[in-house]
Amino acid sequence: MNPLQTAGERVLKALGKHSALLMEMYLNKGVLETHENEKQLAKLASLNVVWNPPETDIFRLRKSFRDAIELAIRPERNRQLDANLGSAYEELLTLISHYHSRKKHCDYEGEESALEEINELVYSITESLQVSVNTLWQKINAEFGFARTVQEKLQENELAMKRVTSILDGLDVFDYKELAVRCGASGGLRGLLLQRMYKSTSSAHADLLVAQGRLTELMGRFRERQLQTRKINALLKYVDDNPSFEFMDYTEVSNIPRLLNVAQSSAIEPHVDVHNDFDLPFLSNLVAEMVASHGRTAKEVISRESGTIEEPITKKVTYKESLEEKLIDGFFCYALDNAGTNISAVVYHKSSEMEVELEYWLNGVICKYQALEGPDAQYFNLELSTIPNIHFSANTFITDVKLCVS
Amino acid sequence: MSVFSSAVKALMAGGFICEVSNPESFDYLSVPEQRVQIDNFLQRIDYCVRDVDEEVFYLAYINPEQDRSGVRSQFYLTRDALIPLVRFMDLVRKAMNSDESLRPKDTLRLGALLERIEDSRPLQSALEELRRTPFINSQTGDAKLQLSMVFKRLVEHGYLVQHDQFVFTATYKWAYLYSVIDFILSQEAIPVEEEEITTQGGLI
Repeated sequence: MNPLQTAGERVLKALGKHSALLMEMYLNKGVLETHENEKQLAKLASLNVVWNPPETDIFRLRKSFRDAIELAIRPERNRQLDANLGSAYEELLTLISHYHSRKKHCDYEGEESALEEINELVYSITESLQVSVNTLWQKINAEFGFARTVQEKLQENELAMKRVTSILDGLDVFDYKELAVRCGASGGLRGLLLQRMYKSTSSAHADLLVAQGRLTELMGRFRERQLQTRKINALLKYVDDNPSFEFMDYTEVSNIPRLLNVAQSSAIEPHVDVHNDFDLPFLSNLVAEMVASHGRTAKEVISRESGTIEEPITKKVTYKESLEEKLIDGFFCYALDNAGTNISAVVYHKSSEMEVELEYWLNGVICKYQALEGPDAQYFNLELSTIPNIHFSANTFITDVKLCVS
Repeated sequence: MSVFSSAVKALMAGGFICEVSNPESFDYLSVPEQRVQIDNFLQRIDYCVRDVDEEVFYLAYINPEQDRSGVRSQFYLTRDALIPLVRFMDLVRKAMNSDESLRPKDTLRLGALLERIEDSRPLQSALEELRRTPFINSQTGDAKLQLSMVFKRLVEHGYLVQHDQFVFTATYKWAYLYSVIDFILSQEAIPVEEEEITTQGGLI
């Protein structure tokens, strides 16, 4: 027996015998040498299948074997079309000439077998073409989602483009005029080559041209994304390097740039028609809810209708109000210092031992809260503790208010 | 309420209408004849509809020079938000260990982002810096509280749409922001680094 064949068989047998250990090495990027696997590893090392990096107990697969396993177990790679479509075409022509010569010599069995081989080759070409095109579209549709970074996506895109070009070049080798002549009058061959294979290759050709356009578009998009990241980095770097930098007011120029022409929110503010009796119960409820949850809005609603407060009353209580105001400001500051916790106005009132009556105090806190405007209003939340009025079900008594800074 | 009416009201309220923020109005505005109808309606009160690559629609003035104060107040809002928003994009990109900046339709998971930030001191500092900006203006607290407040602000300003407690989607208002960034870079003549040459085909 040929010594090369013997040596090859010995290696392959060893691979089969130690397949579990080899796969363990493939998956874990190596195995530790132990008493159990010592002999097996020595055998595999002697066959140049594994190697032992110096001064370690670890055995690793040699790169060529790792590649071989990877190629075999990854169906996607394994089924990719052999880019050398040209050689497949040559093989096809040879088989056709075998077919004709066997037919000419009335070798019916040989003729049948040649046709079978042509059939198998056509199947192999069309199937792998289809798989290649489908795989490519899957990658395109997922926008190379399996790649972790835009850079990797760009590299995958470039690879896919090269692949498309090579398959298209391969398909160009298929000369159907020549095939038509070679097929002659054989119905079996014509059906196989000029119908089945032609249909399959021309549809793959069209698909690949579309894919090529899509890949170019994706490439542009990926580059645009990289550019956006660089722009962001440039802006941040510039702002950090120039702490005193301030944007110019581009709206001051005589012709305002088109991009900056954005209209201010023009939502029309709702106004309550308090003179419409029909809606009065509904509006009363609405206002009650607004008072409870949105002090500022309620104040606005009330202010539009409450321009009748007589001047003398405010004058009489001027001193008391200013004292109360200071206490209330103190309470709001206390709430600010204790952000995140609900501060009870009643507890604060007791602990401060202030002279202001509790009812005035609570009223003062509520009024102050409702008078808050702008960002101040967003910081504070006021929670009312109420008990229902037993005589009038729609009314409630406020027993306490809790202020919280959100 | 008709879609015409809701689209007009959304535009008037200063909304940036896109497939993420307001799909119904966006679909309506994406039909050229319907957009013309809305435009004609708005033109009677000196407004018009503008877009960025027909991916996001917003309200603009027909004569911005005559409504300068309105344009200015909108520009101030964008200007004050710009750097915090760019810092947010940078934070997300670094946290997710990506070389790609936040884009419209990207999904942001608060939990995943928080996990990465909590594991990294520099990211925590970046979040802290972001929180201090007047645009975010949130109180001190742990990273979770701070990040939640950042997300809350971004939802309020129309940059994110919230799906549930922890899942958010970026709107196309970011596309407008990218246009503003381009504008600022060119106006201020800020240099952008050239593309890195990373192709290593020759080594393979």
